[in-house]
Amino acid sequence: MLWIPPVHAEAPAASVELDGLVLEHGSGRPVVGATVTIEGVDPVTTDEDGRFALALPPGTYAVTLEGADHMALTVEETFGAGERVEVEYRLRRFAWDEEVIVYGEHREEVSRQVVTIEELRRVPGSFGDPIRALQSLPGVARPSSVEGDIVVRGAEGLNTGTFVDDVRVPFLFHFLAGRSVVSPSMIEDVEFYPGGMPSRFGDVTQAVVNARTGFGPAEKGLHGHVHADLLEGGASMAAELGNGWTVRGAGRVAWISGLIQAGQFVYLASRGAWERDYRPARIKFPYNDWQLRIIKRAGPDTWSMSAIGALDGLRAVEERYDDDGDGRPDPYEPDPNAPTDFNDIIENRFVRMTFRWDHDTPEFDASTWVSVGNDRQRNIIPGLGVFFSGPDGGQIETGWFRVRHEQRLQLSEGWVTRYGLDLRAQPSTVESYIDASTPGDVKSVSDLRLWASPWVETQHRMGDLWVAPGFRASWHRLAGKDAVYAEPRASVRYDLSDRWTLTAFSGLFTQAPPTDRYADSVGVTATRVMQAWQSSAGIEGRWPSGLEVNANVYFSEMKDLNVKQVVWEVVRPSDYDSDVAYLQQRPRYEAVRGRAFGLETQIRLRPNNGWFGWAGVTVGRALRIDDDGTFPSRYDTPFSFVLVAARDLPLDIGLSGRLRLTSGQPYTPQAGVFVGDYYEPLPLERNSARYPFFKQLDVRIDKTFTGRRARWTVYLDVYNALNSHNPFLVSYDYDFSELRTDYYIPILPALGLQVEY
Amino acid sequence: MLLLLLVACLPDDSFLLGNRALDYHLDRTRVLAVRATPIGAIAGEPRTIEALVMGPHAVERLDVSACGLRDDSLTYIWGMECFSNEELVTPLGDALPLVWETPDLSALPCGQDTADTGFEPYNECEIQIPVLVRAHTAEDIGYGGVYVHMWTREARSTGVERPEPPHALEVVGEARPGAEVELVWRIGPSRYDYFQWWIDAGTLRSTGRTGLYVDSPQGNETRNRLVIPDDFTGTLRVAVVGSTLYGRRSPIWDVVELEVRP
Repeated sequence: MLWIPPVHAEAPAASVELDGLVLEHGSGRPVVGATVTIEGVDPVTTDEDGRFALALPPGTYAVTLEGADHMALTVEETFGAGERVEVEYRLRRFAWDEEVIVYGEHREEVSRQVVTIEELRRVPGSFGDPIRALQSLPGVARPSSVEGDIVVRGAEGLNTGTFVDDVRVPFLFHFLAGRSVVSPSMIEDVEFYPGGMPSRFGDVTQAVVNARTGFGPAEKGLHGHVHADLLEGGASMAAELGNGWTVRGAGRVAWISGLIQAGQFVYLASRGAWERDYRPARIKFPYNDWQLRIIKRAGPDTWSMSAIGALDGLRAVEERYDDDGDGRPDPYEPDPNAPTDFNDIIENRFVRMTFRWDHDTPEFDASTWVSVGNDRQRNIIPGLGVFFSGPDGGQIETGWFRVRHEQRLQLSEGWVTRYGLDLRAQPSTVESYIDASTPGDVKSVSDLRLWASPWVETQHRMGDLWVAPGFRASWHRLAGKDAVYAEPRASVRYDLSDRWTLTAFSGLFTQAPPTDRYADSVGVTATRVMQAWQSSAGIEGRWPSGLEVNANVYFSEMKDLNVKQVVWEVVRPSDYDSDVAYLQQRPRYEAVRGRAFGLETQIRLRPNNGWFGWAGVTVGRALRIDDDGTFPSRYDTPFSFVLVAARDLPLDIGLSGRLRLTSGQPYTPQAGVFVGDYYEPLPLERNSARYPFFKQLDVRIDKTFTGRRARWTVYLDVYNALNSHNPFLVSYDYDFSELRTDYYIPILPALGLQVEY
Repeated sequence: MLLLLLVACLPDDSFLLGNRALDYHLDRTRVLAVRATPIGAIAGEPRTIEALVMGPHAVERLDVSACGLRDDSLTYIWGMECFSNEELVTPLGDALPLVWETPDLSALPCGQDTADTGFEPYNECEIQIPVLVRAHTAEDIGYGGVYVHMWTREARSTGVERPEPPHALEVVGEARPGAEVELVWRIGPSRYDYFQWWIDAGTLRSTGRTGLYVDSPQGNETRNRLVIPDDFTGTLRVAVVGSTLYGRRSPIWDVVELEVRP
């Protein structure tokens, strides 16, 4: 427990009445039984609503709060004479290991919290999206092209588990727009582990991103956010209904497709084409997401029903022919003899509904939830290699049923044990359209994926030493084959002084591959469960001025990583009534070994005198090893530098900037083969070349207007302010002798509005 | 990102004639032409593979390979990407010219019975296989290829190789620094559709790609004009390759070396 004597005490005067509320950081739940200590005043504890009250002389005090299950928090407060002061503190639960980085909205924190959610929202180039802003942290790569993945330490996106309130979701980003699937205003914090996850996280081999939204009571009345920009609009709301009932909800819808089509209409009309009933094929890319939560609290118990859904699409719309003779172009009707609707190019969607019960007391808490849902991932473009997550030339439909129970026991002061059980069943169907011309040609494979996994972890503080051993056992059933794995993990923190802390972690992880990668006749049936052994060690330092530094070395050895390659094969398509085989680009799945190692460093200035920011440098490698040798991971990033700086200006104006300098991402180069009249591409050694060095500056400026009932924020987020040519697709000149940088995202100013009411 | 959708529709300029017309310097190792004669051979008959390799560096090693040939079905392959999958590649040799003993594939089922349809019998017993020539030097690798057509039973008339006509490249004028000389390539009475020129240095007045200058039953002729750089002395090589559209005939070529003296 930390205790800091008063910095300055004044002579006794009129008493200050202090009304406090202590909530748990992240969940927003009241912290019951937390001890509040102020020198010269008898300590008090919080009640079942997390509230406390104190009377004390005016002056400056160090207020220390400690919950049995939470990290101590000391805050310096100054109270004037005769004031009645309402304060709110947020305590963070004991962290599991040295890797955890929790981003939250709160006043103070005594953990290794690197960036608050408000800071993340102001990261330029992220358009106010805190999850997207994770890409500005050490060890996190910017994904290429349109991949909506979080890429950590060079691992493929599927190796990072994406969660919303502990419930796994297949993707966190709308893949074309790059916005996260959770409304930014709903996010209370983002729990991010770049590695070394605690035992409560299973079926994941690299990293965890857990976007957490509020379960606590809302403020009286109806409150919420509204936002709009060029791409989309959205709103969120929270209402306290009384008697412990709270409702929260949010939704977002994209209108960029409509704007583009309107532009297309204007263009065609200006050319007179519309009058001639000409209708061009159009591309639509709708996306939307929604969240709803109903909460009922009664004493230490909280019941909730949460639902979340998201949709991404890419669809070609064609209505050019007048087959019915009515003088108007006919609407598009899918060919009934086609194996699928080929105009529905991409569709990724998921829905989750979770029923949850939480019981929370100082000595014991428990949580049980049941989650049901459905996923569909569809990408009918075969073998392009652009979309490395999800199917190639096919569709995966997955049901989702999961039960989780966990408990926490306070064994003694400083000794907490948590344990639980995960059960999951996923009936899954994979359809491959690669060689199909009729429904009968579709390769369809079904599997019932099962996973059962008990786990236990204990956290014990002994003076300056904090240890946290854990263990998880995982039973996977894939394609009728069973596999059982033991996953021991351990984490240690040692406080060298009030300023410096040493950290270390080592542990094993397993993860089942996606169904399309092992399904018979679609993937590789020999595929096994992916495994990773991760180790890391680091040092953290912090100063009262708000300056923090940390450095962390990591090493990971991976086995049976299931990677998707795009290869050329000579095949005889079944939709040709001939005996001729042709060359086709097709996906191929391989199990490879992996190795990642590196050093992550960060210097951060927490919000102080109107400034905040951080600078991070990461050096490391992510390698893959197969029978042909060692080659770089597709996301191998030997060097990365990120600088984020923000300044609060007068008149509620905020200015921030982000500079990123990063090694170019690997790609497979091509040579030009001269065939007498032109050049044809010849792919060379896998991932043996790199894009040009990535350099980009993003700038954001915002202005907030505070009214009686609402706060209005207008922002201008300028992506790639220097218009740097950072290609995101490999492109060559005509003879493949030089890389072209034509395909880059140019300077992209985005004007947006957020209203908080 | 959204931009991908926009750029995905941009034209591919790799086939633009202008690019190739202005690219005629032997500034790196280049495989300027590859031929596999006779072009009308049936599978099972030998093919002679030759190539014209030129560049600033000495060729240390060659390797020649074919890709995608199967013994269980006809194959018709467009795309040198085939060679990126080593499982599909068949090494043919490491020196040129070489004779490729192609496999007998006459047992493969092919053709389409059109007896009752009124259409001519449709012969699809054709195989197209890419052959790749890699020329390795100490500095770089040059790549060139040709699509080899084979028929499993009988060759089509369009694919029958005709005898190579006589041809000679003549340089008219004095080869000295800064001079402009005329290049005349005379070919016997066989028609070639386009001609590609290559030089070590200088400027080609008619670009690196020309057409027929004289087209007569007695013989054909194409011409170009070479401007020798003011500061160039020594040996300056000039190469020209004649080709036909759709590969009706195997390419032919000539190379001359000019001694440029002040």
